[in-house]
Amino acid sequence: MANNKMIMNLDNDDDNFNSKKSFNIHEYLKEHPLLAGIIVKNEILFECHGEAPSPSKDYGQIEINLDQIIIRWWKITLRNIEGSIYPGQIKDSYEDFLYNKIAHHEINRIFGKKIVNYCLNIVSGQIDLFKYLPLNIQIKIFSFINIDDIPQISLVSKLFRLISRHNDLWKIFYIRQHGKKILKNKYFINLVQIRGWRYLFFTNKLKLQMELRRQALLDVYQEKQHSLDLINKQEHRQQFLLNSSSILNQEEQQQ
Amino acid sequence: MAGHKIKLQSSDGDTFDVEVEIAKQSATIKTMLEDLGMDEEEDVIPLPNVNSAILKKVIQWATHHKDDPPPPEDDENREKNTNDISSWDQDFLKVDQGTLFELILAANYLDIKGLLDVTCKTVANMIKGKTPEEIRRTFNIKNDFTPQEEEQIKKENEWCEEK
Repeated sequence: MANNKMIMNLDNDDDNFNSKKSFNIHEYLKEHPLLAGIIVKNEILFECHGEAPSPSKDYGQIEINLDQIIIRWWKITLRNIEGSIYPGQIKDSYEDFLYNKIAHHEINRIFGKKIVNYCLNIVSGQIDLFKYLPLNIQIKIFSFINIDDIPQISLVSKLFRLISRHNDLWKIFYIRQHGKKILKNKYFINLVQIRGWRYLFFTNKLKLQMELRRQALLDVYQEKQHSLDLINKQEHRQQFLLNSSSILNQEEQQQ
Repeated sequence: MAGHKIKLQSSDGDTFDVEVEIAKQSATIKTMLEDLGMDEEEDVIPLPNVNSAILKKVIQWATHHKDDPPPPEDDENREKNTNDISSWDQDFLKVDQGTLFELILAANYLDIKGLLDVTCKTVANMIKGKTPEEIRRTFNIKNDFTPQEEEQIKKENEWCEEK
């Protein structure tokens, strides 16, 4: 009874679900050969697993591959209630999943309504294509976005955060802001390798000059140390020659 | 030289007659022609990764832009502006997401800088000025942060927004 009610509720506030149509992914991939080349390599379109919200301790898993959607769940309870302790599994084609209310209910129970909608979107053809683009293109796209928008965008997903902090992206931003002239400064290049472009982008001019001077000093210091070594070696050698010749001299004198 | 044509073959086996000067907007094809000496009219350049529908669009774009000045070599300096998409390009790119992303990959594979720029700008415009939730809905992206991680990033971002 309780279950039935839940399903009804889910149905009622899910208005966009009836409008969805399943799509033929194999047909779609044939029409988009370049995307297919990347997607087929990954095979799994979506995967997630996790615990149902407390007090339930049930564990669930979803996998959407190119042919079907698989939902598995494990009921975890301290009491031994008959029938509820067996793990369950639903394997559906895209089309069947659209109308399988039990599957929707299980996903909703463990992962929440957002994930139900997310899965419905995938089986009706709304694949997250952005994540399949090569990183250099993702960075290029981000480079057309205003810097002010970047903090907001980094909240979208882990991938978006990774791109919005990528060194190559901030190199583009830096050069656009400050021009290419500074690239000729070898101390600056050293500093980039240590700190990264993003750090330098947010460093003010005064501090940057200080850091550059420190780099230059480090360079001079290292050179000095290097040359000191040479001088030391020469001195050692002379000392050695002097000593050995004096010993020889002493020996001669003794003879 | 003008009017000289070559044949491009799509993954589905269709061939398209294209003026050399138009085809050469693709650096990939340009290199093929110059390095391999494929100048003969008989030759067909196979493009096994691009299907007819996309190749047709690419040729349509390249034909419209054949008289454009070549893009400046180093334009990193130039102020990037996503509003400078011409109205012809905007109409040209009113396509579904699958086609748009396929065009990006085709432009990348064929190395057509102008087309890659304008398609990437179009995607950037779908992201610009939107909230994270709107962006997720546009591309069907899953929020894979835990609430704690999200809170942490918001805190880190605060200092950027203060200025």
